[in-house]
Amino acid sequence: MTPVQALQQALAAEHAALYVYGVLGARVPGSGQPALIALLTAAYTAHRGRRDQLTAMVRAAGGEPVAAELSYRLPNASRTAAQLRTGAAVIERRCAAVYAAAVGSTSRTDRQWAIGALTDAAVRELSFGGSPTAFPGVEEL
Amino acid sequence: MPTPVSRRAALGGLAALGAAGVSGCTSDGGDRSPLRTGTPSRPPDDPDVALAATVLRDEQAMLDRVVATAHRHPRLAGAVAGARAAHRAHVELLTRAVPPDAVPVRPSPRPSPRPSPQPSPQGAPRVPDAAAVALAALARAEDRLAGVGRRSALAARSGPFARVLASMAAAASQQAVRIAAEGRR
Repeated sequence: MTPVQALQQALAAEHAALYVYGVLGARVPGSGQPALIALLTAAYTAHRGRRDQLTAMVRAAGGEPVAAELSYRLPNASRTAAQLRTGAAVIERRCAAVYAAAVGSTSRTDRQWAIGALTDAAVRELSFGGSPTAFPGVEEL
Repeated sequence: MPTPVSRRAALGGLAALGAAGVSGCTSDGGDRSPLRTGTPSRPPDDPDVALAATVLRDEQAMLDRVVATAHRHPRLAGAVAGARAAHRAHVELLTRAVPPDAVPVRPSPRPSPRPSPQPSPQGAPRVPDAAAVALAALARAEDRLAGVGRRSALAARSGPFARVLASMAAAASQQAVRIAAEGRR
């Protein structure tokens, strides 16, 4: 995978993450879940920042940034608060995987950025109830 | 002073990372060997081998620290079980990759003013007497290890190896967060 392909893959994942977080945020039941709303809002903001950053990085690398799809399949039913948390954790795991791949396919500042994004996704997954693993983002290990 | 034999063993050792499934982007059916990624041909004095030996030393020191903490404070055993499992997995993977006589890099690619954790051969790490203090110290150690690991991932020549190092660093960050949360329970 070339560096541009790796960044494009990460950008595509961020488009999906933003869509899903938008839906999850709108589905938080009632107003009795302020902590969950805060987590989802923070995640949305972080992923929007990464999408914008990746768009710039792809352009800087000479690529045409991939566009978002019209819609994406949700990771689960995403109805109850527990399902919303689980769905968010799935999104973070997917992002961790593409950022780990990007680490392996880039160098210097792009790699440094991907390393930070991988750590952020791995830690954010915990905030949604995910469990620590020995090799976040590297599914075959 | 690496001999030709140890070099071969070292290269074979890092190749074992590939055999263990540590490879980068292979969805396009690309070469799975870390030896073939990034650089067309790997020089015999591969800096990634020394880097792997350094990370192994640090991961082993962290594992020793976790084990010593659980030994000193048995009621923390559950709180640090995840860290123990993660670092044991890291040590096992790196042990397969690093030849026994590989020399850790120090200190050139890692400009860290802090003294490295006590190496395991020189006895068990000191653990604070108060359990809460011990837990907080462990969380800080995980955080430091994560920072060192991120720099190692940036320095690695091989992309697939960098990917694994970055993942290990992310695992240490997860443990830092989890252990700190245990301390607040």
